Amino acid sequence: MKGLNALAHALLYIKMRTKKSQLKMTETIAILVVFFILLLFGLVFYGQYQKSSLAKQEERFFEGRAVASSLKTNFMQEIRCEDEPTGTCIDLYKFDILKNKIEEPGSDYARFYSNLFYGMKVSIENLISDYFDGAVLYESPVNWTRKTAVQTPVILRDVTAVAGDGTYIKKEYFGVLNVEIYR
Amino acid sequence: MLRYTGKKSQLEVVGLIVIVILLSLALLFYLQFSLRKEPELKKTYTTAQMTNNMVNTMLRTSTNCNAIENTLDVLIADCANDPDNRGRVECRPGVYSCEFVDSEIRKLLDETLNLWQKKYRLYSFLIEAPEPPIFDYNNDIQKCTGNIDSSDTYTIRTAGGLLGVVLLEVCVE
Repeated sequence: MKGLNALAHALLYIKMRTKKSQLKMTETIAILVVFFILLLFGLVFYGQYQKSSLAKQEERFFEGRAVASSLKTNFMQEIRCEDEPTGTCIDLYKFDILKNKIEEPGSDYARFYSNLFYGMKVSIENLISDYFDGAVLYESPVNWTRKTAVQTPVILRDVTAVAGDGTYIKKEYFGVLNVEIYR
Repeated sequence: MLRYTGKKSQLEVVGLIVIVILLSLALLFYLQFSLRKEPELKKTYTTAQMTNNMVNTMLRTSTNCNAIENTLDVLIADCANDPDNRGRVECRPGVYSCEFVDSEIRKLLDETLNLWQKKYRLYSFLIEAPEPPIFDYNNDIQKCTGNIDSSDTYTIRTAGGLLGVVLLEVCVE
C-alpha cells in the first residue's frame, strides 16, 4: 500500500513537471514568435527606407544632371554673346549657324553635338516680340519616361537687324533658354 | 514565494522598458531621416540664375515702342521722370511710356514667373523719392514659406538725373 502511494505521488510529480515544462516551452515559442515578428517588421521597414533612399538618390542625380546640362549649354562659346557675362546672352546669328551645322547629316558637328546633348532638348523661346517665336538647337531622339526642364531667361541678341536707313543695328529680345533632360 | 514573484515581475517590467526604449530610438531614427529636408539643387540653381537674368534681360529688351531708344530700361526711366503725365515718350498714339512699360512687364511676367508658378515681387523706385514706386508687381511673396532670393540691384537713370533701382525677389520653396 505504501509502495503504491509513493508511485502515485511520483506520477503526479512527473505530470506536474511536464505541464510546467510545456507551459515554459509555449512561453518560449511565443517570445520567439514575437521576436521574429519584430525582426520581420524591422527588415521590411529597413527595406522600405533603402528603397526610398535609392529613389531620392536617383532623383538627386537626375537633378544634378539637369543643372550640369543647363550650365554647359549656358556657357557654350558657340552661341554666347562675346561681350556679355556668360550665361546671360545668346547670339542668334551664332545660334543659327550652329543649328545648321548640327543638322548636317553625318557631319562631325552632328556627331559631336549629339554626344554632347545626348538625352536632351535645347531650345530658345522668344517671349514678347513678334520677331520670331523660337528655335530648337538640338533634340535627342531617345525614348524617355521622365523629363525635367531648366528654364533660364536670357537676352536674345540679333546683330543682323536692319535699321530704317539700311544700317545694321543690334536688337535684343527677352528669351528663355529651355534645357530639357530625358530619362 | 511572494518575494520570488515580486522579483520576476520587476524583471519583466525592466524588459518592457528596454523594448519601449528600443522602439522609441527606432522611431526617433526614422523621424530624423524622414523629416530632414535636403536642399534641392535644381530649385536653388534655377532660382538664383533666374532672378538675376530675369531683371538684366528684361531691362535690355527691345520693344515695339515707337522711339529711337526703345529698350525697357529707357522707357522705365522715362516713366519715372514724368509719372504725372504717364511718361513723355509716346510709344503708340495715346499710349505713353508708363502704360507701355506696364503692359510689357505684365506680358513678360505672365510668360515666365506666373507660368512657372513662382511667388515673387518685382519692383522699382527712385532712390530720392521711393514713394510711390515706379512699379510694384507682387505675387504672394508675403506667403513665401521658404527662402527669398533677391536679384542684384539694377539701376536706371532718368533724364532729370534721378537714380532708380529695379529689384526682383523670388521665393524658393
